[in-house]
Amino acid sequence: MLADRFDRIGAVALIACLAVVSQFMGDYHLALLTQITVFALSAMGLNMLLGNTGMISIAHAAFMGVGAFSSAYLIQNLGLPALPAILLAGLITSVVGMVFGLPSLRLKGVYLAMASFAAQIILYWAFEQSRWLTGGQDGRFAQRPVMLGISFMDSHRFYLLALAFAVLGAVANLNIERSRLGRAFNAVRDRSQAAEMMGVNVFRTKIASFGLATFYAGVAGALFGQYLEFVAIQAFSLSVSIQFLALVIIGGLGSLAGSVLGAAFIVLVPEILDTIILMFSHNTGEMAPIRLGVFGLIVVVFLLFEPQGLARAWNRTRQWALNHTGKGSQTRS
Amino acid sequence: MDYFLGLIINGIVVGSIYSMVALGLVLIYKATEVVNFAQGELLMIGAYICLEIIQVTGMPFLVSFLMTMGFMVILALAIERLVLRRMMGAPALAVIMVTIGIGIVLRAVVLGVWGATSIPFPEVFPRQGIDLGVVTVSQLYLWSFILSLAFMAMFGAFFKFTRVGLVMRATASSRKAAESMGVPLTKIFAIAWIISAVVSGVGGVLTGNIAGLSPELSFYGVKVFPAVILGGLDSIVGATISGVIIGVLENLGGGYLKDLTGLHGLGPVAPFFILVAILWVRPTGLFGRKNIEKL
Repeated sequence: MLADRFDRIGAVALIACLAVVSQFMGDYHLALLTQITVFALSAMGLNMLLGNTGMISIAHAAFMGVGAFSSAYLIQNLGLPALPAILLAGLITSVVGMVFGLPSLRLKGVYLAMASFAAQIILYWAFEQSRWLTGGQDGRFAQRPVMLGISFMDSHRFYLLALAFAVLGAVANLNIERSRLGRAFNAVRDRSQAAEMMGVNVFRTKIASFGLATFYAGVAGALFGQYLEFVAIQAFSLSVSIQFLALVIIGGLGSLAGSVLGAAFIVLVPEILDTIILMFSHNTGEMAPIRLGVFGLIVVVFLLFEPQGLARAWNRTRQWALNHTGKGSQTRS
Repeated sequence: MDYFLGLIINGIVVGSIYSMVALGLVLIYKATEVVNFAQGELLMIGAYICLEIIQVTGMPFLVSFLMTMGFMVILALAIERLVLRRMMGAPALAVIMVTIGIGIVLRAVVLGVWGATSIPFPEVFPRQGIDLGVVTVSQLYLWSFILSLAFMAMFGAFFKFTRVGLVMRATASSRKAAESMGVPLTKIFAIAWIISAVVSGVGGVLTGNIAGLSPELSFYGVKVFPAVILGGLDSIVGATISGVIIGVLENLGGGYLKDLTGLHGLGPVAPFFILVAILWVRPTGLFGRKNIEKL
């Protein structure tokens, strides 16, 4: 990913294009784009945990919730400026994530899945109980920020902020992948005993992966709450956590492009489905089950037939296009 | 004192249902190394199918119950044949995710056909109490308890005394050895899924009787996770005992911890605190094999 100039130019062009086009979008499309951007940021974290380090977490949405609520609390109740509040919310989430990640030293696979499953249920319950923080079932308001003297109250402006965070997250993601830590992630995933013999501290690497993944979740959660201007605990339920898992798998494990493509997929498919359903029926009550059922089927079908996700499908298409324009011989996928 | 006894009995009854469903989960895990994250949804769909058969055909409960079991067998075969068999040898993450996907589809079916509102189950066992000398127990609870015990005893006998049961135990203890001795693995996997789906179906019908039908029923199936972790993921005895332990702890937690801590809804969450604690202290559980899951 971004291994060659072609990719790098493409990425810069895409970001510039998004920044410009978004400013002329209507509210509906802008809302979708913002959601994709924030979800992509969050997914990058989960993908580092899942794809690069090989550890599963069924609690990603709950961690986003920690970020969303703590940033709202820091800004509104403690009066912190927005930028430090968002970063601090990320750190708080990171600490919570590492606490739940601690048993991961001895666990893997299904055990880790169950540990994080329990984390999701416990955190969600804690949200329900902590009215001072979350407003309980009523939820709480969150403000769009003023940062470095610039107000991001306006949706179009706010999108630029989200995009900036997502780009920073992506750059950090790529750099981490190339660093010693990133290689340690892969080593732990592929053969943790061998990694340990080569001098990788497996425990510290796993905890670092948890910390990073949940930091991304916390920051993305904070942005998500500010974008909606309202944080409700229902937005961080088990089914949302499962959506994030599905997002990463559908997008492509261990691939930055996968995180982005997966986020776009998970946001856009329900919208497209709704449009299709509306063409045949005006009974909106049927929508939720059909959405859910199609979502489940997509997950199963992807795992059966394209376990590497959209990123690989995209790479194949790209390779094909490059080969047919005579440039592709030296690129790697 | 009556309050305390009531909580204990309630816990044992609900716990025995957990035990039975936990049995299904452990069975699949032992035979196929798959943890079925759709167990809760299997339980839920069993309850709804039973209700549907009773309402549409008007047949007596027992017949509907048996037909539900038949449906669960077909469903299990479909899941195993269409999806899980193709996932053999795939990484744990992918297999977990695929069972989650199946669970989502089942949930969507329930939401689409029966909606999200709660439906009362037609009264099969009267809720009237029976005096057992020391305490009075609702007949519904008594029957649920007896039925789950009966099912567990049946499967116990199946494993102990039948040839297929023996082969399944052999497969569970070493898949490779069993395969080299000519055990048809795919058949064993299919049977494991059938048994698991059937016990989930029974569990669903019983919990549906007790708690009414709603998509929330799947949460009962999920509470089987703490039970199997407490008992040891690969221990059938462990699952049976810990199901009851979890049921009792959950009820005591719900009954007393609220006054002690001032926190609401601690009962249903308590098993998950136990789950995390077990994974911290002793991931193999009370009865699990020692050499599992290291690094």
